[in-house]
Amino acid sequence: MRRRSALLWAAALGALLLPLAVDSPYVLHIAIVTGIYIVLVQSLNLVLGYCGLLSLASPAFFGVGAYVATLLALRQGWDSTATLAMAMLAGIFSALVVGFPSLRVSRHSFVIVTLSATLLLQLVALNWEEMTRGSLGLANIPAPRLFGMTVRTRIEWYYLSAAAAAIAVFCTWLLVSSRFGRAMIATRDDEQLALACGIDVFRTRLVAFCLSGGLAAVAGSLYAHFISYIDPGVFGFSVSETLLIMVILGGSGTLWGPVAGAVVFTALPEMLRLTPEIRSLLYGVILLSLVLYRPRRLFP
Amino acid sequence: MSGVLRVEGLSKSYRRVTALDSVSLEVRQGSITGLIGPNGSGKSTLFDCISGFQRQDSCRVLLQGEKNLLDLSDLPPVKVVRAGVRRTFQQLRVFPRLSVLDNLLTAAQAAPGFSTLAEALRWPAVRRHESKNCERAAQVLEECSLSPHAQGPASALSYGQKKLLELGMALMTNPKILLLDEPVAGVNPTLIGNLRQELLRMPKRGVTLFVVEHNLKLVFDICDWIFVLDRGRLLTAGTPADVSKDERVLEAYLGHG
Amino acid sequence: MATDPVFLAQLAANGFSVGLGYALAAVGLALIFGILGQVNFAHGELYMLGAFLLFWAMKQLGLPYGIAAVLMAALMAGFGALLAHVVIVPNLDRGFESVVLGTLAVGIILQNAVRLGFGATPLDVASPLESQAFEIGGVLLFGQRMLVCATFLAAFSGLYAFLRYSEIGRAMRAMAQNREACVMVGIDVRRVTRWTGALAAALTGLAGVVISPLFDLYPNMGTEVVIKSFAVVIIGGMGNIWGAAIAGVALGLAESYAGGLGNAAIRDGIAFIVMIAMLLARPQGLFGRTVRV
Repeated sequence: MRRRSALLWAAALGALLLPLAVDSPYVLHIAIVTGIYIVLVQSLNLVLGYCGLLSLASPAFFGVGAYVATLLALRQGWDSTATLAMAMLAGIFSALVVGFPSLRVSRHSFVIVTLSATLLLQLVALNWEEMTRGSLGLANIPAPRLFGMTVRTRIEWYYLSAAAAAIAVFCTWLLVSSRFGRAMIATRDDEQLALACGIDVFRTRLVAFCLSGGLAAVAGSLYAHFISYIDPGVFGFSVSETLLIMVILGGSGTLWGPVAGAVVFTALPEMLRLTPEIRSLLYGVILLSLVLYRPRRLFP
Repeated sequence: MSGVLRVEGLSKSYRRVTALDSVSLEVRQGSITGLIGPNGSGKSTLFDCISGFQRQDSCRVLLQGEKNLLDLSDLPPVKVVRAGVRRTFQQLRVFPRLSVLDNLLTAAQAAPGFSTLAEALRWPAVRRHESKNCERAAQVLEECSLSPHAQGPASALSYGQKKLLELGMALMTNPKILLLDEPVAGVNPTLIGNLRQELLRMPKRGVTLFVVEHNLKLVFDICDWIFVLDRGRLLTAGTPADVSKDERVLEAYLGHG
Repeated sequence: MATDPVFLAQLAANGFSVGLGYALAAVGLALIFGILGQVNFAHGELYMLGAFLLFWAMKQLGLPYGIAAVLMAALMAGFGALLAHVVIVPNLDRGFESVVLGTLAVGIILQNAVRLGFGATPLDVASPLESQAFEIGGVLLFGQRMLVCATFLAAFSGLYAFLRYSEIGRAMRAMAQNREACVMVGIDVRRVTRWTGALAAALTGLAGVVISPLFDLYPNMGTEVVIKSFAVVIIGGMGNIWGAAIAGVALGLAESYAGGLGNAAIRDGIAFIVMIAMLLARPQGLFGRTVRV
């Protein structure tokens, strides 16, 4: 226990000092993306790891967050604090729309509806050209202004992304170590017994799913502001697959495992300079071998 | 003694098979009431319907509340538990990966419904509730002599200890009535003795027991009143002495038991 | 303006033929769910694979459309049996999420393998019926669409006969009802699983063969098929084959009228909206979950 917390402190210190030690823009870029992935990974971890629900809607909420923040910033010229908050609300709301009908029925219909929602939103982003400019995408997304401070340089971005990651991990910890967290784990481990204990299984799952949607949408809006260009590809299914690998291999249902997964699986493909096709192919193979040879790792 | 739980005309059928055919019964306050009958007579279905796990076709389930009667028919399981009706399952069920203490705390999750935000930020009301539950849990741990195992995972307990934990979990919310589905199935004789002691103490704690059990010796020993179900119908009811003399009961068990 | 009866009839004809295509594309998914209780997330990729195999057989091997289609169905059946053997058989007794993740992984592998093999530029397969059309009372009927309808009729009557009269088909129906009981009476559950996979993949591939000449071929073309198939399966009742047929036609008609009388944006969303509405109103689907013959 003590060794682990020492390790955590060392990692936190390293993360804090990283921009001073390295001034390669490329490394910083990867580090910033990693921070955004940590937010996303915790969003999936809440649902998959702590509620035991397989959700394929992470890219949907990520994309909703990205588009809402972008459109509000470009069309309305809103301040980033406001766009971020709106993106989060949009994420929570979309999760409500997807989760309310599907969670009531069965875990089967939940997976199906989450995937369908992702695919549908991608279609909408592609075809609603007046709003999204379709496959041309939206460019020149302004640098975010948070509380009157504009985040421009890579180093500033690095600290913003690190802060977002830290907040996401902290919020996850607050949630899972609370009374609510116990309820989530109870519904995951034995739904019938949880019901008999008077836990509202449907409400617990829906709330967790909505929070997860909000978290993913925040990650999406950060991503949009950082890359400053988005197209319907943000709804891409490959995000789901990467996230599943990060969460499952890192250790779903633990606080730090998925974080480690996010760090490793963002840095590794970059270091190996894999093309997206090869990377996806490899992830597919890893996922399949996990299912076939380590089925116990899949669900906590 | 007055009735704490009343079931009026409960029927349940699956497609064309009738599992329960207008069963009416009343469980008296502070009693240990038994429900027996051969396999497939509808005992578990009756429990499922009372606790809201299955929808009955037509019925009224009434619970004597503090002042007035509560209608439990058509309520979801969560609301039934909050009203004070707690159940256990035929197969032993605890949360294996939570610690023994957390199992007990989880079992007390029913009331009241805090908002998730309040729970995550541990608002004072939530903290007060939690510390009250912790005290209650410590007390239950003591009574079930599980205190030394409180921090360990429930999966590390022996079968008998898990049985005790299951009972302890059911007691966490101070239910008005406890529906026990075969509490001593698969338990060795020594442990049955321990569990018997626990069960006999329940009415003194203000908990009414309604027990489905195949171990007839135990049922005739501890129950004040026994209902006999056969093929979805109430066959007879009475004190253990009456029921044990009733020939129809014997016939039902031997006939198609 | 849209009250012209010929126009409405045209919309009905279009919707009907598109809907039969949806039903044909979804029946494989319904079959696997109904018989094995598993959701196949590689379903869209099976469709895609069928279309690309057709392209390969026609362009690379120079086979005519009809022969290529038959060869393709055989290859797909083999692939389906392999998929069932590798992913579904070992996971029959585990949670359904294992199969979801496993088939998802297979889908990802297939999609990227095809992207590496054929590139991402859209391809086109030519079918001899593609440019044919004839007219009845002012309503245009297109040759390839008619082929889709004919294939639907052939596939569904074939499936009916197979489930009804063959020994394997009877075992499949038994398994849909109660797998444990099947094990007890000595039915080889693994064999039935492989057969189900083969049958489902062949039907899905067949759908790819007859429908894909109407559109471009690209590696993630399965996406749209998968949305429609999921919707059809949920609306018709998970695993209900006849429910899928009816839901497919209903969805095709709804989309056709929405596209013709409303606008295209609504058309894309209809499948999802109806699916959500169905989950809220009647979660077991229109016809419930059963494989009945």
